[in-house]
Amino acid sequence: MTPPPSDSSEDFLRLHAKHEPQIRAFVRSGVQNNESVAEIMQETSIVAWQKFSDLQKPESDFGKWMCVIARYEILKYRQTKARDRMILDQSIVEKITAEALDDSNIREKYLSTLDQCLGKISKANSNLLLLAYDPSQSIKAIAKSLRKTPDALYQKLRRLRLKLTECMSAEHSLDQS
Amino acid sequence: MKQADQYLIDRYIQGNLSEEDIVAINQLLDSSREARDYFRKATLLDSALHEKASLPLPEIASRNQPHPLLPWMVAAACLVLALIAWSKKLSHNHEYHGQKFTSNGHHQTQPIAQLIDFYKAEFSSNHAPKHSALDKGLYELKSGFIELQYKNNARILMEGPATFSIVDELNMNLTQGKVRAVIPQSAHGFTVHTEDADFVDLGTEFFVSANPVKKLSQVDVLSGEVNVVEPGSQELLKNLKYRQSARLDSGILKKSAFVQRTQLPIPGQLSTLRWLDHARKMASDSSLIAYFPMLRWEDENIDTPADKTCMPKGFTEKENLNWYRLRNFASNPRASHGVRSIASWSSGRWPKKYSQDFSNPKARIDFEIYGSFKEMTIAAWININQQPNELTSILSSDGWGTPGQIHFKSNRAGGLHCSMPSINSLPSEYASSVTNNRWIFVSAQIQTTESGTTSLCRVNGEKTSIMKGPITKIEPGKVKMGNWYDNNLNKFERNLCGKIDEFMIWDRYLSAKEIKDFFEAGTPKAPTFVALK
Repeated sequence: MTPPPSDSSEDFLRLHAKHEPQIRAFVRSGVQNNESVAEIMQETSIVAWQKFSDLQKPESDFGKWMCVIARYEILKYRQTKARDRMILDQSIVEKITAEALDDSNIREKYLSTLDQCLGKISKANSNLLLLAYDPSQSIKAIAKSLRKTPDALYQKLRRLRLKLTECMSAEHSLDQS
Repeated sequence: MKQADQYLIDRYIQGNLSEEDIVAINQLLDSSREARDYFRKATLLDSALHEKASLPLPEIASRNQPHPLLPWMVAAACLVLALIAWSKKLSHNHEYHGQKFTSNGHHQTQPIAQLIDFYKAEFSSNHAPKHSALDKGLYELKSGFIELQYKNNARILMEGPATFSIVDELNMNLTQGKVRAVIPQSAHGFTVHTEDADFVDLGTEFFVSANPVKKLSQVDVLSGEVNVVEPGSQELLKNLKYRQSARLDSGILKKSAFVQRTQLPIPGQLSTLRWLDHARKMASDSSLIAYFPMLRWEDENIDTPADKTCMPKGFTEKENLNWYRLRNFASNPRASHGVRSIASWSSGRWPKKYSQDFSNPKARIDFEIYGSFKEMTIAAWININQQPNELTSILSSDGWGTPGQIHFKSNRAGGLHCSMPSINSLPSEYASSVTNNRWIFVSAQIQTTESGTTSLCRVNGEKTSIMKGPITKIEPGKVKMGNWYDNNLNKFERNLCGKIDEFMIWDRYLSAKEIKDFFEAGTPKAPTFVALK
């Protein structure tokens, strides 16, 4: 296994940048937090870069191909973390990631509706949502600044996510129709 | 997909799963393809938001080198603005500095709301309405109850302590306190804003309470529908229908069992509360020998069967399962309790004030007035629907002919007389008269002096008739309220086709001013709903 030649490297970087969000989302479905996602993404990218020259139809298959590698890395990651408490059983993760492999195109289109749907909720709420996802911020501190309890803030975030999920599903179905 | 399953998956995303949740989510994802599809969407969104939150705001980054904390600063600024907006909403317009609360006075321009009734209401000196008109502003009701009527005819009943501000015709902020909102068609969309949620009317009556100390907000829908909406974003949290409730505990929406909020008065009921104070004071008057206020409490079994202990003498042998006691509330009684036969509970002068209906020809309340008197005043609040009988009895001694008996009655011509066998002469009549289909205050004052015995009748405090006769002791004996039994014909005559709401007898001759004062205290003015134009 050798790294791809330099002209292929450009293709790899371009395709990687293009598909990275949906691959990251795929990985997220197999692990329980975003810290683990970063670790698996790094391993997945290295393996993919090393094997890129073996890929016959990179333009059409890159996304799904990366997800296959990512799935392997997810399962491997779980083995290395065997001593840690894993919330989902191995069989469940295998089932979810197997089903997700077929979703790569859908996932990409689905993600493309996020900005549109964020625009449909109020600016204050979309900012709050992104603030809550900012790794430098704690839910406790944000809740305090809003004079809410952390539980109340969690509930608000849950409602906002549900609203976005519904919006993205609706937008996606519209695109499909 | 079940909402509970969505919540479970969301708790996984947030990393907030209990041991039971872990078992449950594995079972759910193993068995349900739908749940797995939702799970993938949820994790996909979570990933995308996580990635987006890690990036600087693109439109700013393209122009300048961004400050590393710029996204946070922008977001924080929005939050601060939102907080400022909320606090402004709460403290909207502080121009009112009322010193003392009064119900009189007037307002030059049409206010957003009018204070149409109040009971033991006390406002803080800095946040009181100037007069009965309420415009935009912050108000602090320290104690008591108030009833507001908005320009659009929305009715708001509020119990203190309550802090609220009037924003406009369709919006009020409730920081603390309890509110009953009765919203007509003309005010649909009326919203009570609390810190945790906005309660938006969809044509209804609803109850809202806000307790900032316990961080609790509660809404109960009494009729129609209410939307529970996230403040600011206007995101719909829940739609509540008839007899549904919701509670926000520290900002978290929770299910709540519906409770009928009877402690908060309904429109018009403040008059009843005010009258109750008057009634208690009146009952303590030692000259009041019989007092039937027609009280009926929600939680009281008022229909106590009439037994030997409460019945007038001579009634014990006629004990009947359909007779019920009507309590004499006088503190110094010289009359028995009443025995209610056929007469039925009905609506009174104000909401939750009751009366007795005597429309049935045999309806009556029997009681006995003990002893003889030189003076006596009889008064009652009555509402006569029609007069099928020549005479309508308000209070009549059983039979006729024994000296000292009294017959207090009206006739179809609007006359009101208090006859005794010895003073059954033609009365001197005055202008005022009995009118049908409205609450009127009738009284009869009987007095025996050295020159004879007179009976003076009044309607709403104004003289109606006077009758004179030789000196006679007043000895009513066994009497019937709302009817008369003709011993000669052996049948009931003269039932009062209508209602009696309050009935009193004093053992003295009340002054004209006293009678006028009782009329003023009991007049049903406030509950009359007058739509503001």
